[in-house]
Amino acid sequence: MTTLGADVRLGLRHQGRTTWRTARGFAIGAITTSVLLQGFAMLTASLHDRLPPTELTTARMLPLAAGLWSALALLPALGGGEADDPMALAAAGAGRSFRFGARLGSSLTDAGPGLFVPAIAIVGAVVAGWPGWVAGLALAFNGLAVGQLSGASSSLLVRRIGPTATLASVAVAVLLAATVLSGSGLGPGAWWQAATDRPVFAVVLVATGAAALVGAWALNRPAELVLRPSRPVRVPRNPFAAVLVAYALGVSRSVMARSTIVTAVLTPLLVRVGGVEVTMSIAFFVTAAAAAVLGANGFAYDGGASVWLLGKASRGRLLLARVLVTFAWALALAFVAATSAALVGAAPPSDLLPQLVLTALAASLAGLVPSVRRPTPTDFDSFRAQPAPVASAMGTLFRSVALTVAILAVSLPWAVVVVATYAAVAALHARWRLRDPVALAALT
Amino acid sequence: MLDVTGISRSYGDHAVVSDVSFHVAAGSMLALLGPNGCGKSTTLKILSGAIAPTAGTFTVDGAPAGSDRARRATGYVPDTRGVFPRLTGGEHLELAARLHQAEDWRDRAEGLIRRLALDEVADLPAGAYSHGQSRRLSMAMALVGRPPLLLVDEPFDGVDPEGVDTITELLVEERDRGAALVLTTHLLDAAGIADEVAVFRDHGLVGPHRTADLIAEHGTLRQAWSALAGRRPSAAPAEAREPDGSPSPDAAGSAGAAT
Repeated sequence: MTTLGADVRLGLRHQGRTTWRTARGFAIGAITTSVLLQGFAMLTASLHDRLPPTELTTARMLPLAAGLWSALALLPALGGGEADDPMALAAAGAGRSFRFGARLGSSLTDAGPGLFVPAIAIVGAVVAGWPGWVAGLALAFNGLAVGQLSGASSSLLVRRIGPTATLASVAVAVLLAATVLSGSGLGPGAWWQAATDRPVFAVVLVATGAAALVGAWALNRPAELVLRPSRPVRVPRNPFAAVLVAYALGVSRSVMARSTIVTAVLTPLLVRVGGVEVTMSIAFFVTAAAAAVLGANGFAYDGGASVWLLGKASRGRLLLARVLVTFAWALALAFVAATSAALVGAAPPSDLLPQLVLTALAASLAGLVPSVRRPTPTDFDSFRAQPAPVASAMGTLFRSVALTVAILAVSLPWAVVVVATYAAVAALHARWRLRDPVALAALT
Repeated sequence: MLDVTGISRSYGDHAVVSDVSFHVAAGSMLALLGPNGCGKSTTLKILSGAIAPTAGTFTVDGAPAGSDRARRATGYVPDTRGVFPRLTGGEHLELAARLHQAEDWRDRAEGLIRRLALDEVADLPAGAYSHGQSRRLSMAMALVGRPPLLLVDEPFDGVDPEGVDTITELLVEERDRGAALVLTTHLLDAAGIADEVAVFRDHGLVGPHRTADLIAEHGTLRQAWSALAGRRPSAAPAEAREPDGSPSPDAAGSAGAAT
């Protein structure tokens, strides 16, 4: 018992420390992104006279409980689960009790332990006193656990698409059931309200969270054990087409890309749950955000391979291939989001179709410039530098959103001019950065 | 094949490579040696076209640096993993062959996969490869297009002894078919296969010298490395010399890493 307890404590401490280090920037980015996206939704709704009036108010914008729950549930699926480092677990001997402690610690602390959980508990205490505090903690635990479930199913989906599609859909169903049905008293906002009135609901939230945690545990194990060969793809003879295919495979086989599909489907539903009337503007900001996620993770993460590729193909061809792949993916996501929005009551996007395509293009261009942290002289000695994913993602997202707002705020011809001008500037800037991509070459 | 004239690379006041010049003929191999951080990898990154020199220039088979012809003529094994995590090993080789515009590459790719012991993982995404497997894959990517110039940065890093032997054989075969090779390594045994050796000292290059001449003068490559790099000479292993004082057949380099 003593050994077991020490092992679990060690696992918890290890995971807490790892998570605290890695999740701070991620949590800040996630909060900023959420605020930005909500602000963007309000802005576009008020800017564009062709969008239906929404009568948005702060009170109706997004009930805090539902918003935080959704963030907690979604963030691990979008990358928050990285704190659960399997290499670190393996290096520590990976005893079952250690793994349990590490998993539990990861689930409890994922996506920003110092920010989300205290926030939801404090808000609960301020609004509803002691019951609100308990309800807040229960809701936070529930959201974290469901997020783990969602994240586990995402990673599993990549390795065994066919057999695990059912398991993944279960995770999605849990998310949907918990959010879509808030109007019926089953959503997180309604849960929070009920838990402050009757503490038994807090117990129910903890119980469902524990069940989700067990589900995540069950899904994570096979995901770690299975390594599946990829379906072979023929690379075209033409060198440019070959680069295009390599980039496209890099995106389509990534967890990140699959997560953006889930995001594109869920976001309109979550906004609807938040009490906001869904307009087609949702498709625009989902496109902007999703393309930013993809754009920020291209050059930033494949350092060694990018260096090799830079020695094999011209900068111009590499940049063009990158834009084409991101554009195709952003376009697909735009239509997924638009379809999802239409299903929950927004008007079809037929009258805004050109703007939607233009937004996908603009969002792709926003991620064109390689973003890496500026190396220091010390880095040059050993030729090591690290990518800056948070800075890269935030910069790309801001550019992406700003362009999208501009597209929606002006008439179509002017929107084309804006995007064309930005394309020229971005292409020149990217070529300049890649002319001597020391920072990129320093990535390992 | 490769003419390098006075290339330098600095970052502000910090010089990494300083006024480096050398020539590598077709069918010959040059080993660049030196301590960590001396500029070996930076030199190869410049020659591969990945980064630009702050001064100097070079040509590959007469083609200017950065031209499409120079790129196609150059095979490069970076010192990092250098693989796309979501492409399989087979797809990597196909991509490399296409970028080299190579013909009849499939048999060669299969041969490389077999010789470099990648058969069992060829259909798996390279992100799942071990470090040694990634290095082998990088080597296969550089060789599959049969480029006339090969830049090989630390090819033995993380590779098991059998893999070291195989890679050494492959490099010698490439030289024998007429390719020009530039190799960096800390394994002085392996560096002994090079026709010429140059050592970085204070970010500049000392040499190249003929490998046989260096061994004749210093006894072993280890001793030559110490002398040329300006390091405190280490004791020459007694077993590296024959009783009459001449270098032993194994004395091309003494065992162990140089740093």
